[in-house]
Amino acid sequence: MKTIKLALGAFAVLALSAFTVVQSSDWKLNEQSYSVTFKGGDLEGTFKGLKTAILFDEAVPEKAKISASINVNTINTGNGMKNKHAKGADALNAKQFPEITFVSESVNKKGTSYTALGKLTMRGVTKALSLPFTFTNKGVEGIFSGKLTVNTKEYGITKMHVPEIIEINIVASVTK
Amino acid sequence: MTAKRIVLHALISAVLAAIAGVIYKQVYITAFDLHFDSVLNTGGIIGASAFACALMATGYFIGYKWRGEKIFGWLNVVYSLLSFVSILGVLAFQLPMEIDSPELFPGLAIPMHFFPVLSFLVVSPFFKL
Repeated sequence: MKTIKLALGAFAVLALSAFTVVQSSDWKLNEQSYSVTFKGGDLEGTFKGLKTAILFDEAVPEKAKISASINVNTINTGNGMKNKHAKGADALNAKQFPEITFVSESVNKKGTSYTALGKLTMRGVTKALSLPFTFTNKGVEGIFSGKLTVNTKEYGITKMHVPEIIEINIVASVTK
Repeated sequence: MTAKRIVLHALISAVLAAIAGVIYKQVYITAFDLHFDSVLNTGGIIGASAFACALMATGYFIGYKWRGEKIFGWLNVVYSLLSFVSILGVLAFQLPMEIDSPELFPGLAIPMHFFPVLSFLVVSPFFKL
């Protein structure tokens, strides 16, 4: 009898802790509702193929883990020739480096916004970068909205007419 | 009489260019399953054909008054060259971001830039002044 009670107790603890882990905010991307846009100089466009892995709890943001990647081949500037040039070897080199990834190492909260410090890998070059973002909690849904400022020269992009500074805006609708 | 013939010339060539443009558009977007209607639709094709042919006819009318019929050859050369130059605008054109496959847009729009001048020159012998 004692053994059964112990087993039931252990099961209850395990079940509750598992439930707590699920509740600790593993946010899944709503693939129909996100946008990744970029702008720099007179160059602007969008990316698709966003993939995310987000562990985030507003109560303990320092424990957050955020990673995101975009598919370089999905770049759309609205002009076919510009798309081709953007994917070229002297620009994003999509053939050799088909993804741009960001992986957070720490997340800080300041007021109502957050900053994820992490590593951005683009064109095979990895650099430390900060990603300021906000999070709108709507219960089981939420919206992450962040902005990356990227210096293209630091990533070896030397192509003419590519602006040195490009801002990448990410708005991602997520669900628990 | 001259003005009437030139207007008829413009009208017939505009209709032919518009028909060619609309048919080409339908074939192209069906073949590639494209959605460029927000930037290039049937109304736009008809309007552009009418505008281009009206412009060429106006050139013919002014040219005829100025130098007579011998100017038409030079005007035809100018119209053809302008059609070639106009494709630069298509190559540089930036589509809205929500439209996929912008690289296929020149294949749709560039041939259409030649339809008005082509139809204008094709029917030209029927409207000799």
